[in-house]
Amino acid sequence: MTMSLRAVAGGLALTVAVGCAAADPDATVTISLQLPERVVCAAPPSDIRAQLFVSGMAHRSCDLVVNTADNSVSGDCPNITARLDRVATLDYFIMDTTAHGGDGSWGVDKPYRLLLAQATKTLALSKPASDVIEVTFTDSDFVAMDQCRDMPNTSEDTGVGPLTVDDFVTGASPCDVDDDAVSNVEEKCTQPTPTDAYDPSDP
Amino acid sequence: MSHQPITRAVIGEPIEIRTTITDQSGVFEARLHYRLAGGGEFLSASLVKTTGDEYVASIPAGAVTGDIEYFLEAFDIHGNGPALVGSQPKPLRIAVAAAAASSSDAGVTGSDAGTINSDSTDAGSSGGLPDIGSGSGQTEDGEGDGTGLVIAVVASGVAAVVVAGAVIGVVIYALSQEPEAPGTVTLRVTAPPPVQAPLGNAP
Repeated sequence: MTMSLRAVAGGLALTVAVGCAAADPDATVTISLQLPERVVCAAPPSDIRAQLFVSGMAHRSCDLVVNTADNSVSGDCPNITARLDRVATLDYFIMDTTAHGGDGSWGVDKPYRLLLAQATKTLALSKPASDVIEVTFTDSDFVAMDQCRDMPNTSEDTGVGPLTVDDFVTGASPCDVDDDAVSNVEEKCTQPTPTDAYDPSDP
Repeated sequence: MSHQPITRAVIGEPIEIRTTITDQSGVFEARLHYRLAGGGEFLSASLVKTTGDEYVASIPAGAVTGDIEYFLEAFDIHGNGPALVGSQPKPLRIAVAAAAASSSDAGVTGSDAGTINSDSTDAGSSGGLPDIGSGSGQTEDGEGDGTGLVIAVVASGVAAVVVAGAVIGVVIYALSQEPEAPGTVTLRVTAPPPVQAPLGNAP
């Protein structure tokens, strides 16, 4: 997948100070350039959705708002029981209705929750100072493709309803459902026929 | 989750907590929560996998200053849980005993303190003002040197200082108590987009 790029891992931050000596010797412009683990994508999927899961709050999630302009995420997740540290997992996904099996055994009418990226963050909630806790995910919170977890547990969602992770390749990472070592989001970014993402014979 | 409760420990020595955790989908997070018995916030430590399904965590020696309450919590990789041994409202309890030498020291200190308190009480009661008012400036033996008056004044002063000190102590204690942390919180989430535009195309 030569057109897809994965930026250098790690949260390397460069700070460039540019002096404007001619106008004001004391004035500087500081540019913080965070090299992300996010995928570079010229044509990101539309209708990206975001959902937050909190450990210990099983079978409950919060739908967050995705800014259509830049796909950044915001929103509230209320009624989280405090007094214990917890782990928040943020899923970025689309409901892909164009999925099909590699052998064409099922059609395009089954929506599939295609995980594009996942970020996690430990929340210090053992002694919250306020009843509203600011949780800011950063680029360094994105997890590696092979570390993505099936948070809604679709692998156990058998029978009728949305397709499941294991409908593609059993045991594959939810971030790479066809298990071809190219993430779902990279394939969605680069392939005009994104359903090929699910064809194990067509990485 | 299988755990043999710890019931006894020695003051000032770390307590090792071991448990066995099994889950078909895998253990995502396991934590030990502990505190001094009787109240206060729980501190937590990760239960670290050792061999097989065994996990271990330690309560540090510095925290073992009295009886300890604890419970164990684990989640699977899907966020299901928590599986609990003990719980926040009903934690397990460890009776923490002092070593023999320190018990003896504590007894001596307590005895000394009792003596001091006893003296103070006696001084306060013997300095009753009625004796001063009823007297003529002379003691029963007729020497009349004013010593009784001096003792009464000093004793009253001591009693006043003790009472004032107690009141100040109560006020300081009350002011030092932090307000109770909220039991539930709202997570206000912000997160970056899952993909980024190519560097050359950034707005």
